[in-house]
Amino acid sequence: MNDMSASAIPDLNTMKNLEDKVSKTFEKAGFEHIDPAIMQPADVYLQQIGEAIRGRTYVFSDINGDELCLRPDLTVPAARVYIERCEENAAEKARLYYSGPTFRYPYEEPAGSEEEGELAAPAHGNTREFRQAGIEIFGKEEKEKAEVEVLKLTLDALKEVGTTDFNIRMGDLGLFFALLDAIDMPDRWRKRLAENFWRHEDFQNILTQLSEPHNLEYEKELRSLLKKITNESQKEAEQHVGEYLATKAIPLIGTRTLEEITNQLIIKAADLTSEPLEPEKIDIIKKYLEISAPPKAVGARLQDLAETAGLDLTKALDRYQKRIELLASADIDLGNAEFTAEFGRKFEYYTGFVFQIEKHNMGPEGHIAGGGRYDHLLHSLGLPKNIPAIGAAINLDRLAALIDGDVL
Amino acid sequence: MTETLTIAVPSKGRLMEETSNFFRARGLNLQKIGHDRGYQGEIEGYDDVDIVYLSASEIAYQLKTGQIHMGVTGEDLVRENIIGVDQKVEFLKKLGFGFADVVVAVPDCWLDVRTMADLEEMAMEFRRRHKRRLKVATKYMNLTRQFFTKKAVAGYRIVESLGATEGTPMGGTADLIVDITSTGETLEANHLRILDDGLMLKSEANLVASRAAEWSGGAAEIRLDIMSKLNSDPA
Repeated sequence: MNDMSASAIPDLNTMKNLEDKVSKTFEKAGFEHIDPAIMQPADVYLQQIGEAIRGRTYVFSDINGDELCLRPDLTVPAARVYIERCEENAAEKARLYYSGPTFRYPYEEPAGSEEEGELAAPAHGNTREFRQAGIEIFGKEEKEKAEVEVLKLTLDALKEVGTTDFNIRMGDLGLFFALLDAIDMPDRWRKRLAENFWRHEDFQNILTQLSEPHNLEYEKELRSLLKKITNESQKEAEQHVGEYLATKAIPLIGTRTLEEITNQLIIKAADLTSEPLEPEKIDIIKKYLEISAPPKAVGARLQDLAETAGLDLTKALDRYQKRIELLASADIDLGNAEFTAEFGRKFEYYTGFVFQIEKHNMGPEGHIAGGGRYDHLLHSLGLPKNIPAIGAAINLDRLAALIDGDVL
Repeated sequence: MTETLTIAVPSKGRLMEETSNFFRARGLNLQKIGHDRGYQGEIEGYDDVDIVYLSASEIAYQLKTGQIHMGVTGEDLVRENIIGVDQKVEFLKKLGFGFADVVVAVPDCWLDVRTMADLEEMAMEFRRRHKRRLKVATKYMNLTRQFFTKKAVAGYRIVESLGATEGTPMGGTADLIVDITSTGETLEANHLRILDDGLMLKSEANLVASRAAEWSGGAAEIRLDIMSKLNSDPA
């Protein structure tokens, strides 16, 4: 533990100054200051992000046995503030900003960790905590407008503290999902691909699996059960599965019902007899994911891709172009911007536009800010329906390190 | 302070006996100092070696902190309790006893789940329907997390279980388990089945050295001597 410095912030003046300037920028734009709790119920993160969170978060129990954690980010805590308000009075819209410490385990998880320290690895000072300042817009607003506003405000805040020379990386998960919707394939495959988009290796494996004849290795008896339930009604299939369990003297234990088990078996049975996904379709997906170009050139690339493949992407393309126009009219310089189709795949909760602001040639230490749209988070944190949400955060410790190192 | 090498061995049960047998068969007689129920010991004829009797999980912990130079404990406990295991300790020797497989087991009635990939596919559906993630009961929180990540399974939550883990799916506190098994009998009695690719670790008792311990000043030399004995053929 001798790597734990006594002070959280090496240079208090630099940090205060930074925090002030960034907060003022947010305040002037009409954002309301909130102060989410530092200690959070671990359950929220474990349900939302999953066990991976334990690999980088301080999770602990109090003497009552309740599992708590030190917040590893500020988006989920801010979302909880909003949700609490919704429960008290039907607050529909909110524009919030915050600034404060977040806490992460400083060691690398062994291979396969979900996040590669985009805003994760602390820059200096105490390696277990770092400060973030950020904004969130919750509630129905014109989507592209809100997205451009958040990016613009982030850039303004950076300008305010003197950072000017950086790249903007962009992505759009919504485009990928639109592409997937447009490609003709069984719904269950689409669902699998969409849900595994965030896991590179798994996604590749599924693509390969779908492209090959399905010779799943089932033992003989199970295979004949699958044959039996192919094209059967749910009810009859359930009966077959029930009989199979009875002959094998396997009791039905646990939470899952016979219906749930049968449903999944029906999907497997359908896969056994389905034609593999055509190589051209797999090719489109791969080609899309390879796109990396200046944002203004991407529209035409997508148009080409859609035309050659005979896909209708009009709606998604219109939105993309609209955003480009709004970016231009907001005076955002796209000269140093790059659109990468793959970008955003590491953060499970993003659903649409994503961006990151990076210093040139500095690796993760140069990733000073990032954000994106996450329209499903509030629903899965407990609100009765999906609520549009977009936000961004600046890593103040990294900024401070740049100032100290005179590399702004 | 005289220069000594500290070796920790399990303080009770089969593991203690088998460790003692293993050492004795190679010319190293472990014996307690003082009261038979005490926890201090020595190797006959070795003034410069201290034997301490500890619980198997405490041995893993002290290997990490470097309070002991070497220890005999299960590979499962070492890998579970030490993050970044290869930087902290060195596995010196598999001892050929204390065998246990750490496995992922699901209710046998889950006919649709034969592999870890099946599990993840089903987990998504499960979450939609039950509004919660699958619960995995285990005492191996770190091993489970690492293995599930490697197998790209994300739709689960761990419920810490410190005993009778096999009973949790039937009792309803968990949906599936990660636990050790040697014969598979307990799993079967609780209507559980190991997934086809659900073998996480084939564990056995190991002699392990701590990289965090102080090795200068003679300990390294005594270790060579002890190791040459332990690596010899049993009498």
